Amino acid sequence: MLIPFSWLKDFVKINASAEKLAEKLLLSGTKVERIKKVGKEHILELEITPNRPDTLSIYGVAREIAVLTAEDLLPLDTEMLLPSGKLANPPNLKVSDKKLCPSYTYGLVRDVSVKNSPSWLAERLELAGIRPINNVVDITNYVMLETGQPMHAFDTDEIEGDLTLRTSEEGESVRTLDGVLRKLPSGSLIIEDSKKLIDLAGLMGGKNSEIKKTTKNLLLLVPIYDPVAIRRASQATALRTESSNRFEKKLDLLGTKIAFERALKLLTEVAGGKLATAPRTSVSAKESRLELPVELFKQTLGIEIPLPKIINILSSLGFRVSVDPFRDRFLHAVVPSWRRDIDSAIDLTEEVGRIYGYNLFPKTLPAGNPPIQPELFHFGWEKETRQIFKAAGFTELLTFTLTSEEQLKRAGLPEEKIVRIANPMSKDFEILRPTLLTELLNAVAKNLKYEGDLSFFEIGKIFYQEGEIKQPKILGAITTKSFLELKGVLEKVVSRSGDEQEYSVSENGLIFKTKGFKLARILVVDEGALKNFEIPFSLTYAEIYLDDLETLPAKFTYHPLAKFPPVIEDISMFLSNKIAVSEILSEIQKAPLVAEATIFDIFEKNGRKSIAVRITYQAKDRTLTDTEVAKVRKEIVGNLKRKFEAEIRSR
Amino acid sequence: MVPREHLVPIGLGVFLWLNKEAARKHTRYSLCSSPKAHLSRLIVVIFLKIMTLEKIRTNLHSEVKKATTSAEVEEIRIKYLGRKQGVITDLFKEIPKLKLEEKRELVPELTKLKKEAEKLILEKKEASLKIKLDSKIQSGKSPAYFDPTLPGTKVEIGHSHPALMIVEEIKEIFSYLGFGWIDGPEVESDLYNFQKLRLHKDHPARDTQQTYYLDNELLLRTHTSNMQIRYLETHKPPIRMLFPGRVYRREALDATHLPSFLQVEGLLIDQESSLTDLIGVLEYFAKRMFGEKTKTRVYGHHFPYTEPSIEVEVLFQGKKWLEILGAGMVHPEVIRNVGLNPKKYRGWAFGMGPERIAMLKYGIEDIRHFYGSDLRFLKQF
Repeated sequence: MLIPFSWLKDFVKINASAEKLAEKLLLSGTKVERIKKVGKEHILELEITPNRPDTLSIYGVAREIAVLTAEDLLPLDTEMLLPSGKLANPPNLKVSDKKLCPSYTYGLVRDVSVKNSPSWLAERLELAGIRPINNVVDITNYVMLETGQPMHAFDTDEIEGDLTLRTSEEGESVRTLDGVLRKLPSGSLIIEDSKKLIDLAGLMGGKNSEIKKTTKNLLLLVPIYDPVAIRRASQATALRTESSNRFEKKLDLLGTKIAFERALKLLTEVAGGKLATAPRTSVSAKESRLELPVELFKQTLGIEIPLPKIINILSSLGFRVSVDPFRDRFLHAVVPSWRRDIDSAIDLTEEVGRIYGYNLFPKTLPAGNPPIQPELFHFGWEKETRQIFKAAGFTELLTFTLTSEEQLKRAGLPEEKIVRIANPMSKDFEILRPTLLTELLNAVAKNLKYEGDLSFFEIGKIFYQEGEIKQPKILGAITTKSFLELKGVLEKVVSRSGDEQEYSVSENGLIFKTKGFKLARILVVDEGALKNFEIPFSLTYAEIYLDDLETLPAKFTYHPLAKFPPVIEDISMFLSNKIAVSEILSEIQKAPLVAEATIFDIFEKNGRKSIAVRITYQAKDRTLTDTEVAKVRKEIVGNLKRKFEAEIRSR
Repeated sequence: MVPREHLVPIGLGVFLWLNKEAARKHTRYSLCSSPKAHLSRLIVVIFLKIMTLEKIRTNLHSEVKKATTSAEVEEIRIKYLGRKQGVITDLFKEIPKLKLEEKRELVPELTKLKKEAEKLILEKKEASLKIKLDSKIQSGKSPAYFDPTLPGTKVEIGHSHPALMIVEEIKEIFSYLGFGWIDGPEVESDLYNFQKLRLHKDHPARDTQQTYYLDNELLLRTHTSNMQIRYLETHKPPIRMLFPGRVYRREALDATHLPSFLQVEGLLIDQESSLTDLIGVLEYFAKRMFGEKTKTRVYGHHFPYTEPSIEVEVLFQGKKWLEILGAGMVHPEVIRNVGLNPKKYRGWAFGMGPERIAMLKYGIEDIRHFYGSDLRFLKQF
């Protein structure tokens, strides 16, 4: 909201500069975003929170200033000469449901001459960011800015019969002031006369009853509508105005009368109008009372503010405070009608705190001991995994979880079990990612100019539909390093769980399993995907299922250093290509006294592979004799021959 | 006859056998047998042996000079100094067979030669090692040139993500005060994202949070406050917890707005807790994050789930006040919603954006960089 500094001075004495005042307002909860200088005038640009529609007005901000500077707040000028004689009755306004319009004031004004507003009026409107149109419309906007209460003037000569305020039915339409014929959904508030719709209430008036240069008589309506109905209608019709912005909030139910009188005064002085009918007011409002123990202030704020100061602050804000005659240190407060945001005792602690000044509060630290929570005892798997990948040369990324089907297609991934956004903002962010592969491929594609290995990883959620929506946390990694190098990194992470892993090879890659659930998988990226992402070299991709990994405790087994020397031997063999190396190694490692077995040479010949295994024999308690080693060697060789039809080569 | 390649000319038309086995068979270099002749013969013998050593020295030097690889140098070492079959080593083995006068002249010379050979070979090895080290930065100049002021060879390490670094820093700063952390669902129900936080359907405050919906009840969470509720419903006070995670806002992507970004919220619930603690903790946080001399200020604000509500700003570079977080005392209705008695328990909560903090702390100019996967950005951290 834009507020010209000089307009504020109509209602409160201001000695401070605009900057100093802006700071006072900001610290007490009325945020001044910036101060613009237009000629000699300072314009305060305010960001008003939705709970304070009373400060969506010059008068409301002036009230805040009066409290902060301990100055008097001057009243709105509604003084005028009322016409003598008996006034006629205005047309009836039937409200179908009191909840739709809990308060209104309206009346007829005759003999107006519609022309341009005087310069003081037009200027103030412009400084406040509203375009002047004609004196009548300008006055309705002027009073709206001044009091925070929107209102509307209808050309009475265009109105036929009595008025009804009701909700629209699907399919009804009204041509609004901007000339647009709007088709209405059901539930929007409308006003109609006996023949036609004349107002899209709270949003925009109807064109048929607009104030024109020739208008002579007008009906001024100052209403308060149901905020929810206005908000829904505003969203449904995509119409948002200064008026609707205020109608969406909880306005002062007792404020329509004074706003009407203010507008009437201006219409009389500026547009030559005369009150034609007695103003009709209808209010259904209940006084809001709160009661609270004084101790609530100390409990919430943490400081002891003397009771007289508390009462003083609340009173200057408009609360009627009294001390309970029977209960010790107990207060009663009547909430001013313009503060419909105050609905519980706790709200009063904020009123006192913000006016007192938060920056005057001492700064303390929480009392009590830090709680011992179960989460403290979980192993930091995420942190550990991150460190391992970083040490291995992988750079951590953050990418969007929102993506498109097109990206999945590019990566050659199936578009199944996809979680879709119902109201996406653009085609690029229509679905939730079911994989980290697409964004990692994009990352590689973006950095092709980089010399050196490209290795990236990301820890985040993926999403898919399986009955309900699943959103597991995983780590995804991609690299130009070799398959076995990435596998080495995975093994380092997974081995921390200390458990035995099984591998299985499928079309989805090599899968690490433990205790029956998947821990990780690794695969070479499909060439078609590489082509689509314009990546001219091969890549390996891996995933670690962190949510599952985090269910495992981290084990660390220390092996005391061997006291006795090992015996190291090599065995070479030929066997069928179909046999997995991991099976051979695990067979060898089953034998007693085998501390380690590693493959140091492997090549393929004529559909068979030749592997060389280095076996380390070790006993904890003695130096092994040749005979012992020979016995185990014979057993191993025998098993290899039997199980895998291995042909042992002589060394 | 002795094969030609076993002979080395040492002048005077005399040849020396280098092959000791052949020499053993053909020991015929004595010239005459008189005592005078014996002395002259001795002199000649010594002379000839010293010439032998000279020749070995010459050959050694030239071979070492010609060597270009450490393998070649090793071959030379074995040839001359090898334990089993080195030219110089073998000559040492002949020493016992020498006459006393010969020993007196030849042994010091031989020892000198051996030391010289060892030094020469060692120096050559060190030089070639240096060449190996420098080979990556050679620019065609003489291989012996090495400038230690050249920039060090780049080390390929992985980089941390700056926004995630801030999250880790936040965790550490609050860990000092006893805060743990936990994350949870990003696809959340309307109930846990809004309703339990006093943001009922049609609440005007919902305007300020443009939301992505999946259907009538499921949405992408707009803040990590859903975790605050979930945690409160399953844990008894006292509570000190951080809730870091991704949140989503339905906003156009530009230099200061993202469709999804990180948030860290914090919550403290206890029997005693007030605004002075909250302000004190937030100032402690700001000083640890931005520096001990950081100036902060607090002003009143509004959130539906806290009352009183505040925002905290830091004075940036002594000039501009910039907002870094919002906070407040948890509203009693929220405390009631999670099954606790607001007369017995109270507390506070805060929320901040790590990307925004990183932008302030590191001077990053465009929020899109955090999600850009550009190594030019990432490798700086």
